[in-house]
Amino acid sequence: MSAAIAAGRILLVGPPNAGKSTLFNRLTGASADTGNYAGTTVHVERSTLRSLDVELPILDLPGTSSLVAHAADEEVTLRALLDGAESEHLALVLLVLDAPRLSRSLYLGVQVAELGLPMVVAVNLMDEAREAGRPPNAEALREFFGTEVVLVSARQGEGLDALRSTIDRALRNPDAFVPNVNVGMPEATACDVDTLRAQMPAWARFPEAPERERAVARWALLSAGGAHEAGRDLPWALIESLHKGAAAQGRDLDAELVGSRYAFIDARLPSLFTSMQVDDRIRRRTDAIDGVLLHPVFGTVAFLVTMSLVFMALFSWSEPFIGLIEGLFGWLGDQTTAAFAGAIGSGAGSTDSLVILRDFITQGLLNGVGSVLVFVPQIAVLFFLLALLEDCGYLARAAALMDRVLRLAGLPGRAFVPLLSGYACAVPAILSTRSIPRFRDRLLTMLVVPLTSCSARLPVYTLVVGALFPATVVGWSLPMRPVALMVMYLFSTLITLLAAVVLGKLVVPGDAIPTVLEMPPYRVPDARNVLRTVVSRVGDFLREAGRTILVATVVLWALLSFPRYTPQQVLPAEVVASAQATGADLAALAAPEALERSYAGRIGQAIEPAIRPLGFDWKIGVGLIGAFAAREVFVATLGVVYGIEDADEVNTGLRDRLRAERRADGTPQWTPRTGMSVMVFFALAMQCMSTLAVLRKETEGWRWPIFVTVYMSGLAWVLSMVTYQGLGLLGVP
Amino acid sequence: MNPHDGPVLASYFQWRPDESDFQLTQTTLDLLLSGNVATVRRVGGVGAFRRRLMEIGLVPGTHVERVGDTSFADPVRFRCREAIVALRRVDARCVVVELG
Repeated sequence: MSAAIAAGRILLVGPPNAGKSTLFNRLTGASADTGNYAGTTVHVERSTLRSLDVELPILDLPGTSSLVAHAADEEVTLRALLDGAESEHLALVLLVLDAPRLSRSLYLGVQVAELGLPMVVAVNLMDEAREAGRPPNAEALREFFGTEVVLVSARQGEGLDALRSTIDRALRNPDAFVPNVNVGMPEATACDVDTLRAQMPAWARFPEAPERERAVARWALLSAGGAHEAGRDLPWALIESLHKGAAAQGRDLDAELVGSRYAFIDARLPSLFTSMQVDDRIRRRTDAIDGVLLHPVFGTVAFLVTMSLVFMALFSWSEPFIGLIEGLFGWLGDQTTAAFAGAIGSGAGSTDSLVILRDFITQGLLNGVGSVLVFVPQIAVLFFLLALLEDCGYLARAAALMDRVLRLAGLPGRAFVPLLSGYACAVPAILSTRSIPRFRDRLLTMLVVPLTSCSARLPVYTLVVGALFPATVVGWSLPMRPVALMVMYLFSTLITLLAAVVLGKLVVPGDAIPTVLEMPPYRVPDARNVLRTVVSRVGDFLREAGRTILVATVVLWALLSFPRYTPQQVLPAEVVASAQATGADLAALAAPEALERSYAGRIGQAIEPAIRPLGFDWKIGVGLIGAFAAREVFVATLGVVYGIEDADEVNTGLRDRLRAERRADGTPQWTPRTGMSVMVFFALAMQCMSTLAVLRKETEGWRWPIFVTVYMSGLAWVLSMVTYQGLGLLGVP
Repeated sequence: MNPHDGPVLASYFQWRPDESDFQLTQTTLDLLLSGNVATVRRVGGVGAFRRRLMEIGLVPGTHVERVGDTSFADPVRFRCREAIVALRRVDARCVVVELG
C-alpha cells in the first residue's frame, strides 16, 4: 500500500547540453508553456508530469553549470529550489547529469545535493557515455548521492519507465530520497561558513536543516563580487570581510570552497564508472569536424553560407505564408464589407454606426489579427532553423566564431543571429535573443536589434529614392537606387554597433566574468525538440505579444478614423455637387480631408513645430503616426493624406504627387534633402509597436520598451535634423 | 661561477633545481600549443572572474588540453574534464599551468 502523493511541483535542474529539454519533453509529452519565472526575466518551461495518479507541474529551469550567481538572473535556480511558495511548494528535484561529462556536472550535482531536498538523479546521455567507453555506474552514484539514481538516454527513450516509477516512489515517500553528500572542508572554511550562516536573511534560514543553511551560506560566499545584483539582501559587508580575513591569513576562500568540491568529486570519480575502456571515437570525430568548421578559411566560409541560408530562409521561405495570411485577411475584409453593403444600402438601422462597425471589424480587428499572424511564418522559420543548428551543436561554434568580432561592440558571440535576423524583422530577432545566457548580454542585444534595417523600412527607402533622387549618382553612371540602399544598410549597421558600444558602457555595464563558451559534441538534431521549440515560441508570441499588437492596431485605427465626418462636412458644396453629377467616389475624395481632421491629423499638426527642423510637415507627421503600426504603413498613410488611391512605393501616382507637393511659400516639400532626412529618421526611430510589444514581454515590463523608444527616437530626431540642416548649409536643394 | 664559462644552456642544466626552477616548466593557458596537455597550477584574477574560471573545473591539479583555435584565432578551444570550452585568450592568460 503506497502513500498518497503530496501536491507540489517538480524542478528539473541540470547543466546545459545535458539533454535536459529532451528529457523534459519525453517525460511530459504534451505541449509546454513557456513563461517567466515569477518576477524575473528568466524563461522557464512548464508542463505536467503524467503517468501518475495526480498531475504534478514540472518546471524546466535554465541549464546552468553552477548555482553560484553573479547576476540576478543567475539566482533563479537557487531561488526556485528554496522557494517554499505557499501555493506550490517543492515536491521533488529531478537532477539531470551529463554522463559523458560526469565530473563537470557533478559539480552542480553536489551543490544541489548539499541543499538536502528530496531528489532523484537522472544520468542522461548514457548512449554517448557508452560509446565513449565510460558508462557511469548507477550503484556507485547512488552511494555518492545517498539517493536514487537512474541511468537514462532520453533520445533513445531508454530508462524512462524506470525514471517514472522512481519519481513516483519518491513523491510518495520524499523523506527517503533526501541526498546525503557531505563535502569535507578545512576547519577555518567551515568556521567562516558558520559565521555567515548566522547572519543570513530569513529566506536562507532553515532551523530544521542546518546543513541547508550552510549550503546557502557557501553559495552566498561564492556569489560575492560581480554586479551585486544577485541576492540584494545578503550581508555583503560580512561576506567581503570574511574574504578579506581569509586572505589576511594566507587562505583563499574561493579556492577552498570550489576546490574542496572538485577534490571530493575527483577522489570518487574513478569508482563511479562501470568500465573505463576509453574509446575516443566521439572525441576524435568532434575534433575533426571542429577542425573544418572552425578552420580559418573553411570555417569562415561555412559560417557565411549557414548564416546566408538562415537569412534567405527568413526572407523567402516565410514569404508565401505571409502572402497567404495577408491574402486571407484581405479576403475576409472584402467579405465583411460585402456583407455590410446590403445592410448599409437598405438603410436599416443607423447607417453611420454600421459604417463604423464595418470599419472597426475590417480595419481594426481583422487588420490587427492579421498583423499579429503575419509574424508567425518568420518566427516559425527562424526558430526551426535555430533549434536545428542549436541541437546539432553548430550554434555554439558560430557563437565562438563571432565572439572576436562582436566583442569589439561589447556584445556576446551569440548576439550575431539576433542581429542578422533583425535585418528581416526585429520581432523574431528579439525573441531569438533567448539563446544568450546572461541577461545583461541579452538586454544589450535587445536594445540595439531594433536599429538594424528591417525589411519594413525598405518600402520607405524605395519610395523616397524612387521619387526624389536622380536615376544615377550625379556624374557617375552608378544606378542611384542600389547605392542609396547600400548606404542606408551600412549606416544602420554602423549605428547598431556604435549604439551597442555606448549603451554597453553607460546603460547596462557588464562585469568582469570570463566568457566561457561550452561546445557540445555534434549530434543529430532531435525532431521532437525542434518541433516543440517552434510550437512553443510561436504560441508564446501569440499569447503574450499578440494581445498588445492587436490592441495597438485598434487604437491606431481609431486615431486615424475618429472623429468621423461625412463627405458633405469636409468638402466644399460645389465639389460634392460635381462629384455626385459625375458619379465619382465621394468617400475617396473626402478621405484626405477627414484624415486631416482626425485625431491622428490633429496630432500630426500639433507635432509639426517639433518636426519642422527635420524638414517634415504635418502630413509627414501623420505618416509617422501611421508608421507605428508597421513602418511600411507610412507609404499607405501618405497615400491617404495625398489622396492617392492604392498607393504603394513603386507606382507613379504617389511619386508624382510627392514631387508636386508645395509648402505654403511655394517651395517643394519633397526635395532630396527632405528625402535624406526621412530615410535617416526611418533608419533610427522606434516606430514599431510590435517590436515594443515583444520587448515588453521579454523584459517583463514597460521600462525597457520606453527606454528604447526614447533613445532611438531621440537619436533619429537629432541625426535627421543634422542631416536636413547640414545638407541645407551645403546648399543641397 | 663565471657566467662566461661554457655555453649558457650547459650552465643552466648544471644548476641544482630549486624553488624557482619549477617556474620554468610553467606557462599560462593561452600559450599552450594545439595538442599540448597541461596541469592547472594556479588561477589568477580576482573575485567573480576567478571564481567562474575555477567553477568550470580549472582548479589546481586538473588536466587541460588545448584542442585548437576558432576561425578568427580567438577564443581558443580547450578540453577540460571531458568537455570542450572556448575561452578568450585574455581570460586564459590568468590560468597558470604546468606542461604534462
